[in-house]
Amino acid sequence: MELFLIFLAATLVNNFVLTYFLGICPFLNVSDRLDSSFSLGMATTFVMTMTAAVSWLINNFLLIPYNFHYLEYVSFILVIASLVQLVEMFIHKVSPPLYEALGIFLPLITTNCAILGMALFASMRDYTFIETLVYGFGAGVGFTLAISIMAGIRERLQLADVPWPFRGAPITLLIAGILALAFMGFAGLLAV
Amino acid sequence: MNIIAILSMAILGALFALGLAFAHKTLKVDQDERVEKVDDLLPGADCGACGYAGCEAMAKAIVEGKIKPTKCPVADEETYEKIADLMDISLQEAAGENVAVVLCRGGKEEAKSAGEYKGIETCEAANLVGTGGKVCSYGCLGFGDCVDVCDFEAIRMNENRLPEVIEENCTACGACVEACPRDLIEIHPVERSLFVWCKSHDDGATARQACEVACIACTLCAKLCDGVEMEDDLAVVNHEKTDTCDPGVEKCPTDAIAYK
Repeated sequence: MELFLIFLAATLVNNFVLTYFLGICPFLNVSDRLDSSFSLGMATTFVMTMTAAVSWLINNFLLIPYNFHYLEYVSFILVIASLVQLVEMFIHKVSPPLYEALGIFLPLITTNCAILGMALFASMRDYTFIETLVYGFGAGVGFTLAISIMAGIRERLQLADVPWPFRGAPITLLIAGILALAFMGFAGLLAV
Repeated sequence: MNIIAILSMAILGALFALGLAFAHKTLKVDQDERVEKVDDLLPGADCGACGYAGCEAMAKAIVEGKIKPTKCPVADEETYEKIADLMDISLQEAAGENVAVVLCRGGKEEAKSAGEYKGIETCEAANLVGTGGKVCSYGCLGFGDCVDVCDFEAIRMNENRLPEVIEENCTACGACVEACPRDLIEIHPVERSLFVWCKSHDDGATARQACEVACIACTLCAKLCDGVEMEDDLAVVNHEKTDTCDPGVEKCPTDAIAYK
């Protein structure tokens, strides 16, 4: 039950994109097609879950015993960068079209602050290994959810007659704002 | 204490590096080996000035023949030559450029309007439901599908709602050719300048009423020069033959045939 609550909190209540406003760059830029945004979401989820696991190990077996808290950022970024490289190679091998579709945003998962944010939050909250894993996975699912909803709306928007000053970025930002408001409704779901 | 901190990070980094090196070997993607060689020759600045995401993407495009090596603004002559050698094309061929040409000059001033189109604002959609606001059913619809697909900002809409090719930017990739539902855009070598700027197969009277600059199938140019042929009420320039004769563009009553 505790694990489920952590998952739900990371996915809906404290959605990384729409509540913490982390990872906005891919959220606004890769969200014009549903299938590629979903794939980016999956890749991010994978990186987040792996990061959660590896960063917990580093944190608990290296940083805490030797009192190296100040190395958190450095080592977590190291983990994230390596994992993203791995995912990039993997996707290039397995699905070249997806590799093309994600383009520059695949290596840019490295600089997705939602991932570093997730690793830092997890260490701040003293989660156990399993809890951290669930938290990382939940954060990834939340990111996928947000970016997929955005992509779905933007796909429909292509057929809509948007007044010209609002076309492109402005309407996207407006939608992001409304989505964030909608997600605030989840705040009453559980107190975290 | 600090020594341990530095050491631990170094070891951690080395471990990850080893893991990645291993993954690089096992997950290596087989691709045209020329891509890697061309990539090595390119400056590696990843500046994106060629219009691609980086040097690797451009190398791939060069190998596929989509872009000329000379489109890299950073590389020097020597690099162009090396890449041209590698690709087994002469440098002249590498530099000899093609550009897109839009073969319709009937903008909103010249072409007669048939009413206001109020549907989805793309050429593709407008083409499905009819003439998209113009009387002429062959001409440019003016919603700029070609502008949208161009990755190189090489085509833009002018005030007359006609697409204009910016030749310095054009890589002749052919995206606009495919995007145009009316097949008005063609790829030609940059030095070609004589074109019939109209694709209307309407008979003379209909074409004249629809647009001021339409080909009205008077056959004058075809009579003056073997290089112009009439195909279904439209003059078509055969570029291989126009060197030998003059089609007399100044005599064309609607200026449909003209030099660029």
